[in-house]
Amino acid sequence: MLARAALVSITLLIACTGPRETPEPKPEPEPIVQENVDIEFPTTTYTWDAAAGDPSVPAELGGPGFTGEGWQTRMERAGLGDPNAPQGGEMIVGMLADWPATLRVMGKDFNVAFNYFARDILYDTLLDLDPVSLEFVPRLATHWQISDDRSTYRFRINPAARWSDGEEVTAEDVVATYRLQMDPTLLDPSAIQTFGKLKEPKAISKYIVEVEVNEENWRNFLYFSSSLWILPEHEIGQLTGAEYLDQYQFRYTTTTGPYEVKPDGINKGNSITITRRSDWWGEDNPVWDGFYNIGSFKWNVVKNPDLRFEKVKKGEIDYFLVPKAQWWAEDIPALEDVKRGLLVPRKFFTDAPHGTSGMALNMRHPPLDDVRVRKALQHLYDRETMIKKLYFDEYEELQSYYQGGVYQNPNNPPLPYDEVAAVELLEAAGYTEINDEGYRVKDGKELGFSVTYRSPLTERSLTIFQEAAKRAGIRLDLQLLTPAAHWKNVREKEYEIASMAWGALTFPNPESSWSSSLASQKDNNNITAFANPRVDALCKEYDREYDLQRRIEIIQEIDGIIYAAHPYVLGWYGPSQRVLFRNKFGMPEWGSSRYAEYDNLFHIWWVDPDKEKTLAAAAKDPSITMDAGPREIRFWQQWVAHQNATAGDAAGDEASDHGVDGGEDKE
Amino acid sequence: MAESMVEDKPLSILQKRWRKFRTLKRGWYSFLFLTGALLLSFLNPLMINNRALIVRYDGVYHFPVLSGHIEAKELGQHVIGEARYRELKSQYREEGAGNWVLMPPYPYHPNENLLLEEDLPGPPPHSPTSNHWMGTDDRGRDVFARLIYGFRISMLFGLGVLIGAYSVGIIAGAILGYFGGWVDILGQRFVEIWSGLPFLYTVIIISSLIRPEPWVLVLILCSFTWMRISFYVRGEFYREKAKDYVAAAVSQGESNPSIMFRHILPNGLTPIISFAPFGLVGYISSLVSLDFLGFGVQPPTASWGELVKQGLANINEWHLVLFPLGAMFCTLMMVVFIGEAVREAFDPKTFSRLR
Amino acid sequence: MSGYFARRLLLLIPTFLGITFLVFTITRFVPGGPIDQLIVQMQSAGGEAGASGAGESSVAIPAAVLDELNRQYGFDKPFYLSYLSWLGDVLTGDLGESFKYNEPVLGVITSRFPISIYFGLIGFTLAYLVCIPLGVAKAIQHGTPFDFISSAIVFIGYSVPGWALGAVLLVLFGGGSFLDLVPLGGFRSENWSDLSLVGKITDQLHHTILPVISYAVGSFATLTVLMKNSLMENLGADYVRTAFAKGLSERRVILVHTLRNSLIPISTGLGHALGLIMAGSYLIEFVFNIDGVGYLGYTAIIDRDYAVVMGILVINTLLILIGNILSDVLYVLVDPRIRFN
Repeated sequence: MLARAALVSITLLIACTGPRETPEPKPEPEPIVQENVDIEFPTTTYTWDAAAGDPSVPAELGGPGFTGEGWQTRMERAGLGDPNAPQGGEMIVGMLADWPATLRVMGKDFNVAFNYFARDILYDTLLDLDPVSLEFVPRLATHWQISDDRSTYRFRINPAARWSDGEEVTAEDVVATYRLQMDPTLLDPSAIQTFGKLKEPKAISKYIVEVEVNEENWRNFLYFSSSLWILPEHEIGQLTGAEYLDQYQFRYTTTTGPYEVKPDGINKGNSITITRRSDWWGEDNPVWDGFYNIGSFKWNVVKNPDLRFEKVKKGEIDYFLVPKAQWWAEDIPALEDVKRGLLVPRKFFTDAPHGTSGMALNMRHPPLDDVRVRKALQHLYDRETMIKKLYFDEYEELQSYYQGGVYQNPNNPPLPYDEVAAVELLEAAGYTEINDEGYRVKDGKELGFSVTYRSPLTERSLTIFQEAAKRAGIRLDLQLLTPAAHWKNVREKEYEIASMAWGALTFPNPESSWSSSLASQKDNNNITAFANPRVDALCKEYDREYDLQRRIEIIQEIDGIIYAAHPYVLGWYGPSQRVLFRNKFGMPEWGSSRYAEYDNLFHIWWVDPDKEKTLAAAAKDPSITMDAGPREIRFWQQWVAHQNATAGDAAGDEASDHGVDGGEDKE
Repeated sequence: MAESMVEDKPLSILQKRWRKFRTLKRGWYSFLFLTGALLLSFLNPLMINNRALIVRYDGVYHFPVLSGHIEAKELGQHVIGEARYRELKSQYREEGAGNWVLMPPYPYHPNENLLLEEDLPGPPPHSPTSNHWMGTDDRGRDVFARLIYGFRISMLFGLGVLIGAYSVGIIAGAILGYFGGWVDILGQRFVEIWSGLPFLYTVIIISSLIRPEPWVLVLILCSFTWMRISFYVRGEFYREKAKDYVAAAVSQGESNPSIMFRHILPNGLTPIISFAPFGLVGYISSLVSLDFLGFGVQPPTASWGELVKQGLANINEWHLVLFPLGAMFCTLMMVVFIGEAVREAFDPKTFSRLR
Repeated sequence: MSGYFARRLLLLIPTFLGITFLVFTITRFVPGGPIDQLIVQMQSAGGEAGASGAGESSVAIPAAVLDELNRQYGFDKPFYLSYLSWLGDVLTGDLGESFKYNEPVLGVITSRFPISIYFGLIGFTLAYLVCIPLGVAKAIQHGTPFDFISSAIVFIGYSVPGWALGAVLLVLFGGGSFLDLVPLGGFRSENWSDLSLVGKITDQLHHTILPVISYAVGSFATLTVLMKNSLMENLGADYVRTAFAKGLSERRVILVHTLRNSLIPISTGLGHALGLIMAGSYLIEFVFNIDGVGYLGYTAIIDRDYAVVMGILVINTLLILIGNILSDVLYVLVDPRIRFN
């Protein structure tokens, strides 16, 4: 479920995140560790039948009698589901702003948020990541091996795994999926990029698949085991990429996951319904107890976000991610249904890392190559006032390129609005003269940039930035572009300042954004042309480093170096998922898994039949009210704080040092 | 001699029409009001602005509205960038050193965010107050100031397109209708091809290549609207040229342009004139729609479209919905009154109802 | 006369070629085309996902993929050759495949026709049914308070954009915030096919009211004023004087003599009713969550789905051109004074 974090956020078409006005936040953090918070949750065990499987396959090749000796595995995982959760019911999800260009799970145009959501629960990967520790745990495969030289991986597939048409899942499925994924006519070059670092896998037996890597990198194992969603060989084995594009445009293959899409579930242009299967092979496996309780998800297409909100108010939508701070702070508390508890606004503070948003500064475009000018721009971006006045204190200022979680460098100083400092920096950079219009001039050239952006919603903060820049003597011209034109300019580094919003990765990949080898090339994520020898060296080290703790140190150091170079004018982020839902769902105390995002935090929820009844009665009887429960769930923050406190006691100085530095910096 | 005759005639017609126009009260007053407002709007910077009209500092007079940017330091104010005159005014008053500032009557600039103003607490949009007659918009800018500045942009835009599109459309339609034959056939093909270009597509393409200044938008809209007028004019010319007075003019040896524009055009003006106010209204509305889609005038320029858009995004804020839509409605209504009056004035026949 | 119209029909050909060639050429030379669009899609997998480190797309799109894309979209040939091959397909009734949906363009477009025709026809009929009587009444009572007030109402409708009015009405009457009188958008209910016939009709009408108001509200003003002006012009004409002199009643003069002539300018609009097949407005469809041609066209432009852009252009162009000819036919039919030759 979590391995897909690398790919979250392509929400061009999904309105709730589309605006990206909104990474989200809280103002004054309450004392994070509350005294009587129960931070325990149970552990569950993955069960598999050693005797199962095709008798013709010998035990050492994964057949019946396979012992797992000499193989790695990890059968225990955090049991976040409630085993008593009732199954069934429906959730109408109001997050689809446009009918997806395709419902395929790979290939051209696949890249919209709905397809990530659907792929997640329709198909399986070889391994899962533990929802709390992010350790590898079994999914389709029960065991795995990494050769001593780390050049070959092997996976042993659970013989109990079945496709929805009853066929067994075999090593051939993995091979066929890999082949299809690598087919250039699938028109999915980024997948080729990712999986091209591995050689084509081989089926050693019906149950064992082996793959070699081209170069050593810990990420290859992650990608192959947890980012390759296995498709059925008996359906797609003979297809070229182009044929697959053609035949599965709005159709699914048979699936291995807990859900399926029935033929009548696709109402083209209007809605897609995903239904829970009753014959899922993982049904009785205790690791998934309390997961996937909701009987069906119906995603409705509603183009206009305002209309979507109206539909939530009217009760036509059950689950809605609130895109606007103003709605959350002003409109929602005033709703009659919210006051009566029929509609619940709740913030989920998970531990997922936060993306970076703000304005990219193209260092190939003088004078943006001067760090003083870049820093001056940052000082002119009045985040404090905007967050307070425009966004109801719903957001927090970004203070890192790896905001949230362990990778953030705690020593990054805050960068407040400071026009005096900005002017000093500009004067130090040689911009001492001022022309008739009030703009600064150096060598007869006026200090001015064009700022491109692609969402009209960004304009609000940009015009305020424009005003502040003018006071300091910088001319900013704002230009709205279509997303395609904007992205073309950015990836060709043909821009000056560009408004950008990036999603975050669970496992950082600094090389792709900050490697100096990309600075002079087009078509990469190093859009600011950042180059720093120390960062290059750290990136090299990072890729070969299997020790998580060392990797964290590396990223923190990289973060510190980048942060001081100001490649971006940093914006803000939302520290929570703001959800508005009909009060018919139940959920465990932690509300979601640790790294959950808006489109999967409900995988451990359930539809509560009693609440549904009350809700139906409340529609007729205005005197009925319901208990809305907590307004915020901060379980994972508290849990992490508790873990750190425990670790700090044990490890001593280092952790508390961080704590002190962080505290001072915030003053 | 023939020339002087030709010159006298249209003058007297125009005079007659002008006189008649003035008797049509509704249209005449609307005309006076709108023209007055438009002329007055050129004085906006003197009336609605955050730059002072006059500053007296250390015995020297400054005229910031006219002279432009003055650094705050030069006026004894310790902030960066341009002087902030409203603050400067209270600063001088407190210092009591004989310095003073004369602000415009409405001392706020349309592009200026008032987020940190003390009289506007809380998040924008703010409701109307005695200082901010129509409240503020979603980023704390004064709606009244934006509305007044936006009026000038909208009107000039609409008039610009009207004049451009009508000039091209009338000439093209007249030529096609009058000459007919191959001219008409070829010309119609050109008009048809031209009308086939998708308008929105072109606007989006152009705005992804350059930053469209308002005059570029005027040109674009002109080039996409003249065909409709030419279509009607052509029809009128076809109808009129079969009439006897045209034949008479031809037999007198008058030149083609003279026949077209001195004889036929005045008789074929009715539909053109009826459409003109709608045209103007339509062009102003087009700009609103373009602004709504984000392809109109560039921020932070004050425009009515931008205001209407804000109203729709904040439907609960009555002042953001009512004032811009109200202003738009009143203006467009007056334009229509003018149009009706002009039509009546141009009508050679007096409207008669016999029983 | 028939010779004239035969020639007009023949002349459709160069116009059609001209328009399609022009737009086709533009699509080929404008930056940010479908391939760029696709690259956004592809790279946003990694790209959008990660300044802070993301993306698997750290290197350029492989040349093989770019070649494949160029080939698929016909960008590997000079533009005039691809235009010719596109034109060849069009002549055989094949508008190609949508870049975005990988489906035949014709199907993508025609699937929106019922919605466009439905709303277009209702709005169109409504406009004529309301505006002609209103225009007549206003002309007869020119200068009275009725004239003034009806002008004001019609112009409120005209000066407020239809989509804006729709958005406001939907909030007021959609049941989300205030009154629950109409459904919140959509073409019909999802369970429509399960309803009884009466249920189907009621449900459909229920969904129709607000969108139709939004579509039609702007057209009332033009048509009403055109009707009024045209009738007033005729009322001042000599033949009316004669008719009155003959002792005919005012009713008869207006309804039999004047009205017929006054309808001439209005009738020309009828020819363009053909365009209703493709009627639609992006903003209104966006507001009401309707899958019409307007929305399709706008998103096709934004997404650079040129196959659909060209498909819509072809159909639209044909409808407009034929509509023009029809208008002229009507012009001649209703006004014998007009000669085309």
